[in-house]
Amino acid sequence: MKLTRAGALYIALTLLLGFAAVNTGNNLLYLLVSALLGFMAISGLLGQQNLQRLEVRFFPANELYAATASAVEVELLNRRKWLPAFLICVETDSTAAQFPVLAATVKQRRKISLTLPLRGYQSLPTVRITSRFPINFFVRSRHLQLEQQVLVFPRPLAGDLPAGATESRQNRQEDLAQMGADGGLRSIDNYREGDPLKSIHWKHSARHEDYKVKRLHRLGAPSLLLDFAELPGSVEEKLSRCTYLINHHARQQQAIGLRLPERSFSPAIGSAHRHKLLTELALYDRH
Amino acid sequence: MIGIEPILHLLVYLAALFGTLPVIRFLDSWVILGLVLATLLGVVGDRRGHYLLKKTPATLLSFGLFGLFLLQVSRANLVEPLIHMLCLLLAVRLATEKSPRNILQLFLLATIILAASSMLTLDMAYLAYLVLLILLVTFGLVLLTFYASDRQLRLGRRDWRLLLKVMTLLPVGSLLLMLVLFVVLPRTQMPLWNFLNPKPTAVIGMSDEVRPGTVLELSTSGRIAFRVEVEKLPVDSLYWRGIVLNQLEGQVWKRSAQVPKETLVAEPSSEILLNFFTEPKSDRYLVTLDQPRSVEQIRHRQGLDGVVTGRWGSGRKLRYQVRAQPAAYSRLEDSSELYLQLPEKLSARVRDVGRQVASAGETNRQRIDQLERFFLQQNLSYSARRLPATENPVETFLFETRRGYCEYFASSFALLLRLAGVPARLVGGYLGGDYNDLGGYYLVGEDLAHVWVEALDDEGRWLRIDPSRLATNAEQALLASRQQGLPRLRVLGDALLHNWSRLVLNYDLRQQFSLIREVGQQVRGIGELKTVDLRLLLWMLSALALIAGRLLWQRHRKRDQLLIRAYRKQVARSAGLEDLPVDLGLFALAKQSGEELCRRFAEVYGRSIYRGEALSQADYQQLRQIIRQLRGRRFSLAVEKLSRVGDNSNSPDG
Repeated sequence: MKLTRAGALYIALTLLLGFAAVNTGNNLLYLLVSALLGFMAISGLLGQQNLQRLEVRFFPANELYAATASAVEVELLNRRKWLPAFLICVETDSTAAQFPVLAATVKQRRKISLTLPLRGYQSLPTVRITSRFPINFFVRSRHLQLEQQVLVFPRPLAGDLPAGATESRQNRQEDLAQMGADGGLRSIDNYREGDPLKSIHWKHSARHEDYKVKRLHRLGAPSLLLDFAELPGSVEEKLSRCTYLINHHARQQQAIGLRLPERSFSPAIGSAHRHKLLTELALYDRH
Repeated sequence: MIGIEPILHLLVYLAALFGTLPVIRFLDSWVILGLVLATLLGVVGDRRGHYLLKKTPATLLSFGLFGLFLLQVSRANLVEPLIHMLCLLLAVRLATEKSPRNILQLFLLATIILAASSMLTLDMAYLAYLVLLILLVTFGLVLLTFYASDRQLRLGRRDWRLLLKVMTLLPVGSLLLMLVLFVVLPRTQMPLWNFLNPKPTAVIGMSDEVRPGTVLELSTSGRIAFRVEVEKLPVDSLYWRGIVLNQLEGQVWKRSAQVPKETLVAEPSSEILLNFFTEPKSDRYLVTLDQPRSVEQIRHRQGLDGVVTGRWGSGRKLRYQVRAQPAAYSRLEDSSELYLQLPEKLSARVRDVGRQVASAGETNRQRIDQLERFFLQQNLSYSARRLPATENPVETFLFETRRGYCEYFASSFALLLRLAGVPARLVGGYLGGDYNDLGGYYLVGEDLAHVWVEALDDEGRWLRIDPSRLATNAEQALLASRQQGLPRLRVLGDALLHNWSRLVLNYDLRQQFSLIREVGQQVRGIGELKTVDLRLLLWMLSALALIAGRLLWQRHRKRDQLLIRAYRKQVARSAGLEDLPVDLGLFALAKQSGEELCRRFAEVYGRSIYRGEALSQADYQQLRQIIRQLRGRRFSLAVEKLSRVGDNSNSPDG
């Protein structure tokens, strides 16, 4: 609990009036001083209760990267039965979220930015909940140690592919989920204005009243296999570069594989595959 | 959505209004004008978003006003310049920007002005202003906290409702606590700064001499002399005794302090207890009910003739307790010579009447009866208006004007008794009073001041005789006005005023002590409880014990949780880890670390858990000791291999 300047002023005023009341014996002053003291007691009690039975949880975005600011949702739950919580500020060392009014038994979420320094399973930083409620005379705070742990991927570090990565042994092109003009057949569809003439499926069109066109998949870029050993820099730098390259090429729907010193993953596309690779990198040498 | 700012501004202006209202009648008109102008400037500034009075000029102006105050102030003239300065400072703040800092100052200034008003007036309106100001300031300070955190903050209706509910706890709780704290806050018997308190606007007092004819018309000031808390008494016994005048010098009845010995012949069955509350007095006489037996709760001296005198600080309202026995009488045990003393000069007509009365009978009783008959024959009427000033008021009253008020009747009657050889004296005090059913007390005004006679009968007893009752119009002119009762509204207003004075203004160290004594007596009285009460008490104690047990158990549980948390934290630190996995048990941890201290910790803690008991104090101390010893140790723990921890990844492990 920290006394603010306004609080110090209030205490000084109460003491001064108390002194005046005792020395004058004026009962009207006694009434006022009693009210001021009563107010201090009740506001202290409300302030203390305001921080009780609150629960904080973090909901990170799917991906957290080491030493990179990431959006995190912080959830505040008021577990009290009837007393609402007011002006609660959830703070970490670097960020804060404000909850002006939170009814009893209700939870609210706010977005904050969070940076975790290391990769792997990480504990969330200690959270401090502070409040000036009800009166800006004291700032009360409580520290909460969160039991929650999150998986943090290595910090992405931009870089080029090592030479020959695209010329992997499994150098094949795969159809992407997107529509294109160079992949395999995706579907037969009605002709729409603007469709190129060469896409018309004449055989099908002859059997129907409308023109039918062939819709094709887009052909993905050649798959690539990242070899951890071929990347430059220290182990952490290699992990960072891998992370960047995996994300970069996955965004381009390029099948990507990874060869680690002890394990190897064949090129594939899809978010589950990418997640698997990033998890491997996050926990590299942490087992 | 409703913003905080406009509501906060409204509260500020209302607090300023209710802070200054109690002192408005003491303010110079230019100060009031300044306050009004500042409020207008402030309101316009709030609307437009910029203020005519900027920060720096406002600060300089405030310093200037403080300097002006220092020039005006003196020990004799402290309060009014102080209040003027405070009001002007408030005006400056009203006219400037309503920043959180300025708003806080405004609330504090309004509170200080209300406090300062108590040095000018003790009106009951103060309580209303205090309650209103507490309501406004507490609400204002809460909203100010929100405003300071985010000036643009707007809350929905539901949030406002929630806030209002909790905010209401503040003034309500503060006012309830105020009542408790008011009673227990320390007080001194002799305040050093008493000179700062408001002086009484009116002081009542009894004259210590009676000189009929010097006051040509009785004033009807309407001032209250005193209030007496007592059950309703018979009208005839409402003789409030003040002073006894026993010496006649010329036309003037005075009091000689040297009085012969008297004893009160008790009549215990008629004893009643009365609580007197008097307005500030200029004399030294305490009013009692005829016949007073004892006086308590005030430093006093009770004379042999039942006159009570005392010493107290000027301007103080008094409170004391009297035990009186209306049916008792006082018996003269010594010479009655003092009560037969006569002035040298007396008119022949008066002497003749005295002789006639004396010759009417042998006994005092017969002579008294004769004198009463004489008064009735004279057709005297009671009047307090247009009475002529004469050299010999008794003679003029008895034989010429035949009009007069109580002093004429009593002094003539007593003089004639003395002339007839019957010892007599005058008693000054009050007659009658309006009974306030609501408050359970008599209200006695200065207008009810009265003088009557006490005459010694043949057995040496003092008899109360009220010669004014012998007036032809006594019923209408004397008695009716003293028993007319109060209008209902006045009864309510006066009951409030009386309680304000009794419970608030006059509450002092003495009452604090008597309250402590009462509480002590009640606590001692518990020993005399009946069986039913004891059973109830036992039930209540059991319920309390249950609640206490639960609280203690929760505390123990919390203590144990804290212990485990501290242990895990220390182990993590010793192993160079940020934290330990949540599902890593104590025994697994001990095994993994290979540390003897961890093994002992798991063993001691586990033993108590398996027994299903809370940790004993000895075990708790032992575990604390282990945590302390762990501080110096370093060991390794392969945490990730021990168990899988929760994560945010939803992909299968690769």
